Amino acid sequence: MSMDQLRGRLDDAFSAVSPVSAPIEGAIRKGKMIRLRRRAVAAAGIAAVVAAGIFTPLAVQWQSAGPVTTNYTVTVQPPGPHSPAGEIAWGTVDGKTWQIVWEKPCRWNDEVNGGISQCILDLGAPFAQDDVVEGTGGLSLTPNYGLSPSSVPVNFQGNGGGVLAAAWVGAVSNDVSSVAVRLNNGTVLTLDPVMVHGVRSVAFAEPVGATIVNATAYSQTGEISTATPFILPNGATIFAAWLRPGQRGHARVTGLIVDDASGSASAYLGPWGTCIADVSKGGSVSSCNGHGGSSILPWLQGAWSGDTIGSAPQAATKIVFKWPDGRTVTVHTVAIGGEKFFAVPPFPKPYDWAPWTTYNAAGQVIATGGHS
Amino acid sequence: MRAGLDEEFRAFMHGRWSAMVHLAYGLTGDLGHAEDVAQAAFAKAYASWPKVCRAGNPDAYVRQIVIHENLNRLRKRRVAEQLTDEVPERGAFDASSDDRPALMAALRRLGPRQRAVIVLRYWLDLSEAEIASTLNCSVGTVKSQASRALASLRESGQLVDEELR
Repeated sequence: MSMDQLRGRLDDAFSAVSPVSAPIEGAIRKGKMIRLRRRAVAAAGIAAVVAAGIFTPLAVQWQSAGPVTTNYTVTVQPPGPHSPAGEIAWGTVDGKTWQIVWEKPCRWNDEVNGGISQCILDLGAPFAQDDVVEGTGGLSLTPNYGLSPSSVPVNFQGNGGGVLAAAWVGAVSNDVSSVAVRLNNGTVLTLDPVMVHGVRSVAFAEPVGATIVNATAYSQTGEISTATPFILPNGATIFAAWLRPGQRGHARVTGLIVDDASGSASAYLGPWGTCIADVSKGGSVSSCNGHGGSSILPWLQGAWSGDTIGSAPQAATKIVFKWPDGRTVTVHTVAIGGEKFFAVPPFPKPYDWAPWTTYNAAGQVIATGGHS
Repeated sequence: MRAGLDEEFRAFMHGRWSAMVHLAYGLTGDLGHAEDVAQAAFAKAYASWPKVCRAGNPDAYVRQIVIHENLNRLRKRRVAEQLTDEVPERGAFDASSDDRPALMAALRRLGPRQRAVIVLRYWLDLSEAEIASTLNCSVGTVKSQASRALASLRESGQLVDEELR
């Protein structure tokens, strides 16, 4: 069989399916949502830094759901004299060596995820290609994104969830001299920041089935702050709030924001900060960041329902949206752990957002917004 | 985004939707997944559309996202940020040619990267260097993946000739 013949057969096979018509408006709506979420996360991060200095934009590792185990060994080492260029760390998981390398230049997802420079990291040899899902664990690192020495000591970004290990990287602020990561079997991984491509960075591998208890950033003089990650029921791990010594985080409270035939979303408050997650029907979306403050803030769009879910001022009891087609939609806020949340049904296509007015219990207008 | 760019995007997606779904179908072996992957790729492209336009090759850009959306989908095992809010209605499969399902079944048995190499090399006609760049691996890895994939297809009876190596 010639190459042309194989091409022809592939062409036949692939073109035999008839896709639905192009969901252009849906893609635009989702694209706008991506942009809106970027802005919301950035705005929330900045606002929270000013207000409380504890919140960080989303830092998340998605891993396959599976049984939690304590039966693993994991080590981490700084790069050695024979390490490849760009290596942040290496070590072992159950005796097998891993390494995390920040490759330059960016190869494929530059500007895909938020217009911020991101590069691929390689969870590489001597793991066999089939040991780690896809052979190389592509990771996204966002150097210096939202970092400030006074706010977030380590901007952890994670990815992976392969057969043997997932991997985490973090851009580290200048005052951090080391980071201790505690795992559920008692292992404490000490991460020494190294300068890679101009960014102080740390990295570690997390065995599948392990969970991260917390991470503490230290300066030369002592503890800076500790982050307890939020772990979704499906295993997704999110670093959000970093608490300074003595600083109290949220009490652990979980509450339902919306639950209907098409999906449900909940708010999870705890030492990790405030997170909203929609884990309906096996899919999931989640977001963790600062409170919306004086304005309502859309956090995410439900995985299945399409509802936009967000937070509102504490005094708000209802929000009235004025849709572009003239209709008004009133949603009542849900109080969870002293914060207010809301869910609003999908806006008429192709709109993602609409002018809104928030009211308190006395029916007085608290704020208006949403005019683009 | 200004209206002109929106219209450009609409025209682009209208024209390239089927091609991207067919590419994703080759990579995933499942039409539903293919449509999800393609829609997510177009949504991401829209989110960065001004930059995509400035880069000058939106087709290659979206193709790249499709490929990596699929690899990420498999790597993460769960769809981490599934923005799809509705399951599209299924397209129809034209089963008039009997060997198509067998070929697709053989492709599905390949590893995701081997399948990607086959699709990129023998369907899109990309060079090994382009594939290596796309998949973020070495040319040697592309060659070995292709070799193993072709061997697997031969074993399945989908390749009966020794010409392709």
